[in-house]
Order: sequence, then structure tokens, then C-alpha cells
Amino acid sequence: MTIEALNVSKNYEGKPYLKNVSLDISSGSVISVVGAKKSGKTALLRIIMGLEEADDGQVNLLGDYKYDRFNIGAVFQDDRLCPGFTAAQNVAMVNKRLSVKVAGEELEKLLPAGTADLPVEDLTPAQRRMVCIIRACIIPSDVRLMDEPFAGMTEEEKEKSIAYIHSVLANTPLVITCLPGEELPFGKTFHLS
Amino acid sequence: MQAMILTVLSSAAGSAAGCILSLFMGRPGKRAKVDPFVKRILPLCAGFLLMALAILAAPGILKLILSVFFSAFTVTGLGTAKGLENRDQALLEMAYVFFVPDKSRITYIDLPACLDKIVLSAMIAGPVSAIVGAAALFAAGSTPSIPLQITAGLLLLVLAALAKNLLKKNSGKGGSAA
Repeated sequence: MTIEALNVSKNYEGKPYLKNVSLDISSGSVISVVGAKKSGKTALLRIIMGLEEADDGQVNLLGDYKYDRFNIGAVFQDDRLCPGFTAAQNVAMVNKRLSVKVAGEELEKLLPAGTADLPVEDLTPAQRRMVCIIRACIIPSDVRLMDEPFAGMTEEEKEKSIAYIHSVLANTPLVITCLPGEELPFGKTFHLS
Repeated sequence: MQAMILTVLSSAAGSAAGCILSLFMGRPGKRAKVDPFVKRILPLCAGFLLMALAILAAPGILKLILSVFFSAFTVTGLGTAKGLENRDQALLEMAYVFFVPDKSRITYIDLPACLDKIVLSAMIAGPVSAIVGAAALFAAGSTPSIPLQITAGLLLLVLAALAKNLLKKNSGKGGSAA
């Protein structure tokens, strides 16, 4: 299966954010979409996710697939964790086959012991990003889309998160957006002007 | 006395029905993209229409029951829909992205975020429906029951306040079903 963004353009308030962007996301691919602030990185991901429609161009799903949309593991630019729930509960709620216990065990690969049972409001911003990363990676998905997943992390936290993402890659394509100089150390780079 | 009891029961049933319908209509998977508020005030429109018909057409005590039920249904439905509209759009998008394409998984409802709105609207629905019930009885010529209708409204207000306190104590224990 390949997800193809073909000549995608998007304007906001009359100003072009994306202009004729084409991107192929095939099985096993790892892509760092690099661009300055307001270059359209988030807009591109949101269009692929189906949260917005492109003004021009389209997103196609190539190959045989059961549904007319694909399963996505997503890290949004803002955390979008459910307040009032623990980190483990937030991770478990996106996969009904996943217990809170197992979600907690997965979280301990990145977070300090005992953190998984804390309400997400009590976590540091970097820890919340880690919860988001694990939430995106733990569900069976056709593609993982991560919008600046390492924002707010120290270098050590970022390296740990990258190592985790690399360990769970398998054949699932991964697209992350980042500022110049923050590309993943593996996969290919796609520059947005 | 009978009028008071019927008012309380009808109002509670109307509030529950209004909440359920609005929650069903406001499920994240249905609302994450674009859902104009016009669609979500359907309980209000349906309630007004049915309430008017009930008051005009129903005889005797049925006039009271129907008018109270539908006024509670309308006010609670509107309040709940408004609460759902104010719910975090970001969380709705999160649910939409994670839970499609298997739409059977879209049952997550961020209840803690809108419980206050639901209870508040139920609190308002009680006295409002009691007033409507009193008006219906007055229209039917049963003026002696108006004080009891007012008592019914106050009773509903107290019950809703107790429910609000109880929910506050239990807040954070979930509302999620995936």
C-alpha cells in the first residue's frame, strides 16, 4: 500500500502554505519533512490525515485496501491527551485490545517508573510528548504521522525517543515533520520550501 | 400533588432523553470535521414543535405530562449540545484520526469535559419545565396546582444540585468507552 500526496496545494487567508507538494509514502519508508515555521508541514500532515481538504491536488491510497481510509498513528503538534486520565489510560484508549497494564509497561520504556499512572496534567511537557509518541506507535497502523514529535525535549530525551521509534518501526511507514537540522538520523529527507 | 409528581417524573425523563439524544448526535467521529450548530439544535426544534402541539392538542393531565417532558427535553438537549460544541475540538480531531476507519470504535465521549454543561442544563430544565407545566395546567383551568408545580420545579433544582455535587466528587473516573 502506498499513500500518495499528489500536487497538493493549500492556502490560508489567501496566502499559499503549500504549493504543488507531491509525496509518496510507501511501506517501510521513513521520511523527515523538513521546513521552516509556517512552511506548511502541519498543513500537509492534516491533509493526509483527512482533517482538512487540499485546495488543489489529492491524497490517494494506492493498492488493495479494505477501507476507504487508512489507520493512522498520529502525534499532533499539540499533545491532544485527554485530561482527567492517566498516561496509561490515554495510551490504552486508542486500542481496545490493549489493557491499561500493558500500556503502562510500554510507557516505562520511555518514562520514569510510576509515571504511567499519573494524570497527564502532572507530566512535564517532554513526558507528555513521549506519551503521544507511544500512543501513536502502539496501535496497529498503516502509517505513522508525527508533527514535531520531539518539541520541548532535551537532547537526551530526544535520542531516547528516536531509539524507541526506531525499535518499533517494522514495515510501517513513518513521516515526521521537523525544523531544519532536526531530521531523523535514518530514512530520507523531504524539504518544503 | 399528582401534578407535582408527574412534573418531576416527566421532567426527569425529558432531561434524560434530551441528554442522550444530544450525546448521540455529538459523538466525536460525527463531529470532528464540520458539523454546523444548526444540526445539533435539532432537539430544540423538535422539542418546540412537539411541545406546542402537546399543549394545544392534549386533554387534561396528558397536557401536563407532554408539555413538561418536551420542555425538559428541549432545554436539556440544547444545553448538552452547547456543551458538546464547546468540547475541545482538538480532542475530537484526535478521536477522529485514531478511530477511523473502523467506525465501530468511535464511542469515546469526553464526558468529564461536558458533564458540567449537562448537569447545568438539567438544572435549568427542571424549573423551566415546571413553569411550562404550570402554564399548561392554567390553560386547562387547574389553577390550584400552580403552587405545587413551583414546588416541583424547586425539587428538581435541588435534585440536580445534588447530582452535580455527586458527579464532582466522582470526576476523573472516566467517561471513555472505546
